[in-house]
Amino acid sequence: MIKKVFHILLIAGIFICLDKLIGQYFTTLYEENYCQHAGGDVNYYLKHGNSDTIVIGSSRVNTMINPKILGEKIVNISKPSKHLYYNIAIIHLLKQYNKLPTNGLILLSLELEDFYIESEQKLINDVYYLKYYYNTNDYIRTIINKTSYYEPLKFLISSYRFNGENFKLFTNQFQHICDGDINGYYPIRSKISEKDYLTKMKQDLHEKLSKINHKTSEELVSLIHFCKKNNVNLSLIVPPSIYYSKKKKLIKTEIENLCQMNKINLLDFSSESEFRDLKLWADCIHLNSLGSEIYSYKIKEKLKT
Amino acid sequence: MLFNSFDFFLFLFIVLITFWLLPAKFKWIFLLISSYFFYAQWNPIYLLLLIFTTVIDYTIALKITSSKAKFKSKLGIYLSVIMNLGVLFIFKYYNFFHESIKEIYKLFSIEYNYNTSTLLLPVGISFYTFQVLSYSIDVYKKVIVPEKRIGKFALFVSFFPQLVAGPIERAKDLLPQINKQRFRINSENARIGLLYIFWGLFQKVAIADNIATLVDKVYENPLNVESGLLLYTVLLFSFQIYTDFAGYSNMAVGIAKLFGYELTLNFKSPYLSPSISIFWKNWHISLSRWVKDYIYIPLGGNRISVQKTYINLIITFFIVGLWHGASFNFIFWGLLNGLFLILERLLHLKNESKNTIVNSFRIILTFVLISLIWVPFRAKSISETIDIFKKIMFDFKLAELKFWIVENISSIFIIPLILLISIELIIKKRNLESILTWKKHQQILFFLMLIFTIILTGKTNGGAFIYFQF
Repeated sequence: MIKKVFHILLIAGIFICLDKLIGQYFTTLYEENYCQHAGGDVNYYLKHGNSDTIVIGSSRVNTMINPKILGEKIVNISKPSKHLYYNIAIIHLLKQYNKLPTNGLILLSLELEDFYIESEQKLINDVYYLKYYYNTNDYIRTIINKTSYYEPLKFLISSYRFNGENFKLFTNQFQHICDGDINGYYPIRSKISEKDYLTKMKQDLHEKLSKINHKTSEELVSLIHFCKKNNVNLSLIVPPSIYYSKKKKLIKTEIENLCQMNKINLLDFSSESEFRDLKLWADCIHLNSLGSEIYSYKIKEKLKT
Repeated sequence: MLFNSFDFFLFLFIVLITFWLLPAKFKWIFLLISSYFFYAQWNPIYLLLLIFTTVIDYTIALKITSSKAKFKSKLGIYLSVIMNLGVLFIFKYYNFFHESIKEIYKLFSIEYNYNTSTLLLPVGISFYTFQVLSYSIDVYKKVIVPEKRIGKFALFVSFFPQLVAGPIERAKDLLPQINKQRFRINSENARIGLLYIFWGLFQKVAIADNIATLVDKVYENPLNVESGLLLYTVLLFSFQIYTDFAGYSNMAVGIAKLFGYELTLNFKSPYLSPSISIFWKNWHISLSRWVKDYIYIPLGGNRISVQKTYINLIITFFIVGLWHGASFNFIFWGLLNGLFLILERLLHLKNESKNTIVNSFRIILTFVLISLIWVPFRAKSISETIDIFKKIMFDFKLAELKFWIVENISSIFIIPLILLISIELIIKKRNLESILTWKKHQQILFFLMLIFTIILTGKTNGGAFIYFQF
């Protein structure tokens, strides 16, 4: 019996030591990783970034907003497939690393779909990309812990912070430069076909939007207060749509009211008819390079006014 | 409560500790209560259905043996079959049946209306229905005597490790274990149990859930993807469905082992089979044995004419397909399997070759064939299945696949998949437990490798097991 207990304790001890070693090894890799994947782009900006204006959002920013058109010292740190909670987490990380553009501007592009999302978990899952910062960032920890009561237990294991992209972390160390421009603008050159457009319109007619998820709105309000407290000007952008969706009018009205109440600048391009031209679109969601240029110039104009 | 959730592990821990602390005579009662509690977490109302099925089949089995008149026994078994299949029909096949009639009527331009059923499919209904049916049939055929204690019979039906997705256990195997009087904490059982649990968890979270990310994305719009990438996804789905289902089954076996019970091993390296006939001896073994014993053999099996054997194979696999799902996709998948089994018999390719090189080649070919047969299982419709086949066969391109591989060379499932294939090759001739005959330091290394692979690559908040939908 004593021998068995000793064996169990020995294995547990080996596990803990290995866990610490693996955790330390991947921490070193993460801190040196500046490549686009496995958090490298976030890590790079938190260490070396410095700008007065930050543009942040999902693929609609990543492929559609050219920071060079907007002006100097403007950086695009958007990430495709990452939505509101992730973007708010990035802003909290900027604060943690003293990279918030104090007295500067954050342009946050909103996805109206985030407000209709049935399950908050989909938005929470985006924040797991930043789980490396779980132990040091309150916002990230709070959001991740919403998943279940057991999440804190997982993070007792050091190597769990590297769950996911660890092999990429390993292969990235053999790349000495970042993939592409850290200023994350990757325009799409293709054009949507009329057939795809009509298919999407047909799908949209039958689509039933769920009720507004007020948790998303609450997070947005918290962000507004956070930015005010830290003297950061926050402007919200509603990107252009390939067609006008009546269904999303409800949330747009809510966002408009929210911005009015909190005196936040709202740049709403969703109703602009100029963007109804199919030539400007790569698919039903993203403008192509031509459309992105027009869009970036329009943002610049609106910011001036 | 999914097997890959913390809630389940907490539940298991509490049940296990309590089970081993209780006196022997109370253990089965506690297991029964725990099993009902487990099932009620899915939907408390369907627990009533499970209890109803249990009571009816318990009563019928006793009546079958107690009545001296043969026709009464026959009536009893017919009643059991009709009642069990009737319940399955109402919950699973009602809408499909009426939709099929509607399609037939449509051919004659006749309108057919019916009230759509909105009943949710109770979790595990296909599994426990087949399990109780096998009990009733075995009692009728006098293979076993009916269980007199309703509580122990209820535990046979509802034993939580195998309740929601099998293995489909036979009464002659599980009931004697439930009736045993002595229980001893056995460190050997604990080691075997933990091995199966960790291996199953590894298969599910490190491989199946990660592959699902790509497979789900491609299958959303499979015809928009280039054929090379589509074929790659088709092959990956084979691994997804295997590791998902085998993962669950292995965990079920491991969990049962911790309580001192033996469940049927449902998989024996099926993708290392050199023919589809052998594949079906190693894939979902409890189901294939069930359909062999209760459908194929009673129809005559292969003891009659060659033509009738082929018809029996088609009928059997028609039922296998239908059992999996109420849609023509699944029936088509089942029939494809049946057809290839017939083809193998015609070409005398049923058994493995004595030549290692030929066998290796046949293993690869069988794997590719099985992967293609899985397409209707995953696709949304038969027409989509046919379009996928056409695209792969007549419009084969590799550019997108090459791009995808370069971009995703460090795909999260690659290393776990290599580990899986290595272990499957090592344990092919024996079983997973043979790992416990390795040297102590090799065993510890293996366990640590599994655990760290789960920690580093296991999908957080992964999905339900695929076979839970059946």
